[in-house]
Amino acid sequence: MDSQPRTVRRLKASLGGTNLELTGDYNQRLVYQAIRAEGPVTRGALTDLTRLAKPTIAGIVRRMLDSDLVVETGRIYGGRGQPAVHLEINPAGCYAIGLRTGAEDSDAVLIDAAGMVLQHAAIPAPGEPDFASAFAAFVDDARTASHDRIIGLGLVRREPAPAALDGDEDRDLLILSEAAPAIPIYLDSALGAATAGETLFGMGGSFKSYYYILMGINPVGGLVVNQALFKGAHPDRMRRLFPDREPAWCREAIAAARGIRPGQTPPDCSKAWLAAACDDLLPLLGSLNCMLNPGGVLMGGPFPAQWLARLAARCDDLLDERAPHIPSHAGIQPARLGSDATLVGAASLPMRARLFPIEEALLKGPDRAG
Amino acid sequence: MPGDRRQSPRTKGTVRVNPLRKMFPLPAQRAQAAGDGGEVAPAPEFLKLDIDANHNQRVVFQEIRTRKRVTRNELAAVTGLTKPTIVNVSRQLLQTGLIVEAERQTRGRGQPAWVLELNPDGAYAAGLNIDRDHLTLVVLDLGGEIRGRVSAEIGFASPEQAQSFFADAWPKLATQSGIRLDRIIGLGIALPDELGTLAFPGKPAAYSAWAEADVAGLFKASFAGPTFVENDAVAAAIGEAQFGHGLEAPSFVYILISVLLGGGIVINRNYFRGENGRSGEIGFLQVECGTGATCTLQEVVSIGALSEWLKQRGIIISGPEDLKRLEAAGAAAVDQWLEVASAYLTSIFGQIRQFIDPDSIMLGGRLPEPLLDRLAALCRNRQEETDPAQRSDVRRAKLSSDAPAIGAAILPFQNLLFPSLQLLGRA
Repeated sequence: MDSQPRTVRRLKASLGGTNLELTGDYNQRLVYQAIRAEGPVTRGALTDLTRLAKPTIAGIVRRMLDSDLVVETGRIYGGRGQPAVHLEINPAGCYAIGLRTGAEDSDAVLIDAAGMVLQHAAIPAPGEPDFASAFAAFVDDARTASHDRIIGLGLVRREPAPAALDGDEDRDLLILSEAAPAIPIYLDSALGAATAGETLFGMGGSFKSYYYILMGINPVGGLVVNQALFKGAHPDRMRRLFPDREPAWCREAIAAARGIRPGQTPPDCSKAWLAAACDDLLPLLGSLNCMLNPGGVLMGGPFPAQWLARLAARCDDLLDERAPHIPSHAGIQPARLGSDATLVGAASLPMRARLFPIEEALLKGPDRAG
Repeated sequence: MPGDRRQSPRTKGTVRVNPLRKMFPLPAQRAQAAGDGGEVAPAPEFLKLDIDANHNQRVVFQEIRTRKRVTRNELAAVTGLTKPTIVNVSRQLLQTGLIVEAERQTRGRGQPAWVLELNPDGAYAAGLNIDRDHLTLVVLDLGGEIRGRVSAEIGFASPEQAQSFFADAWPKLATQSGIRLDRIIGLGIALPDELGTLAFPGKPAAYSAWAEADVAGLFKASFAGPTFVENDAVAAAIGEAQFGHGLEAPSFVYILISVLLGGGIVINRNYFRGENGRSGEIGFLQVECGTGATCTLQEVVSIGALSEWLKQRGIIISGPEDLKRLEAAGAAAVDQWLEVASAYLTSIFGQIRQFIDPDSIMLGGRLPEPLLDRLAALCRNRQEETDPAQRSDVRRAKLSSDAPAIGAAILPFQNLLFPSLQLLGRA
């Protein structure tokens, strides 16, 4: 008789079950996000926003006040009875570190719960001998500044991963966990981080769906549906807009951004630059409107902020003219976390994973039986 | 102390209500609430058992349905739910008759485990496809089999004609299939957008009556249960997601080759509508045709484009049915067209991969199945020389003929029985 037990694997993308504990956690995330997005907000307004029962809201808010995640601000006077209290998220309620590693150097930031950058440091690349000590020093400062309320470290690694480092690809993770003990690490692609940041701290939250273009030497793009980046059938593959070339206008914009000294206004982009970028982007914008009909198109990445704004506005103007046939045309705008998109985005990964109402928080995984 | 347990603060007799249920009233609950006022028909009697309201029931049912045969232990492993929950939920499902307990699995040691199985006759759903050239009504069982089909090739049928077609066809379904009409849990209706308003060659003026027609209310006299109305391409794609290749390929782009070229995008088995319901308009993509000129994809790949191609070669067809009866010269011309069409189609695959990167690209629509198969094969051949990272999986949709009608029939199943995040409170 065949005594091998049948192996059961979950079907791709099938939904898990849920239980009270998970829905409770999910409801807290829902309330916290509503306060973040709509605050200052009263408990009554939260009931309408989340459609949770009043006692549920009261319980969740009480726990959040106890743990200093939210604070009570003003009261509304005027109406009858007890004045209503306004709630806001407490920027000092929690903090997160973002780290972007590169070939030559790396960047680290500390952000608060409102997405403000409190600390920013350039540190060596992971291959350098000083990397570990420089990062450990950054974490020490961050711990002090945040009164030890860091909820996680978001990491964006260089893409594509250099082939030579294949063998010890995860050595930098080991170094990080040693330098920042007890801080959970969240890893994602640059695009995953940028869209997470935009959803939490930028305009992403106001769209049902949007297409995000992350500029760089080789721009990448992705569709965000219900606040989650859809990574497709091959999540590890980079979604390059120009798979076989690195457009000159991208290099030019990045060089211009690097050349900006603090306090100095950068030169405006040239007409030729704008024309070249629009010529490359418009056919793609036409197609993606046909195919996806997104609520908006956002552009972020390490270009000078004014250049991005000009480019988005110009593409928006020209799209109707160049592609009159398309059935819908989503507004094109610069992302709110423009040039910091990846770095602040990296720091927002732990916030998203632990505080944002994501589907994973609601559904049981097959491996989390219990 | 064992006595402590009894003195737990939870008073005997109180029921802990799943907060999600209160928080996000499900459509079915809303419908029932409205039904108290005599407005909306309640769910059929045998489904009263809450299956329409509980996510975990839906999840467990979905696993049993898609896996064919499964034990309770396996269900616990794949859903992440506890064994007692599974035991409870499967008992409820057994009571509704949606699943049955099959023979025991006599493998391994110990007490043999019972195997749970879908009961195809547990529920049925009807689907009506209204289009410019035909009306088709099908009834499906839970296993996705067509149990009855009535179709009429009526050009530009008015709402009244559709109504009388339905009234005639409905009793025929019962005699044809031998099923009980009272176990039909819902009716889905699939029709193209702007049916009454869009200018179309040969459209009679009276056809604009569809613009004002209350489509969901038209068939109440024959069927009083829950009714769902959907765009035809969307219905076809949803059908494919739940009963076709969608089980292995949860994210796909559906290319609907009909008079024009439409499409749909399914992301993790959920239809992605876009901001204004205009996603998947693949027909409007620009392709190069001829030297330096561009045209839209549907000008070169559609049944309209094919009949134009044949007309230029002296062959006249009046509809896709005629494609099955072509003589040698006609068949050769169709072959040439398929070559050309496959080149145009593969030219947009790069963009599909870039914007969505689906598990699969599926070809469906009213082009006859053998032609769709050949077109899919030609698309695969064209990609053979390229780097594997630059290839897309292309296949004929499993439900290609009658896809909109079948998709329509799946709408009641999807809304009343299958799990979805939307029902849990998203969107």
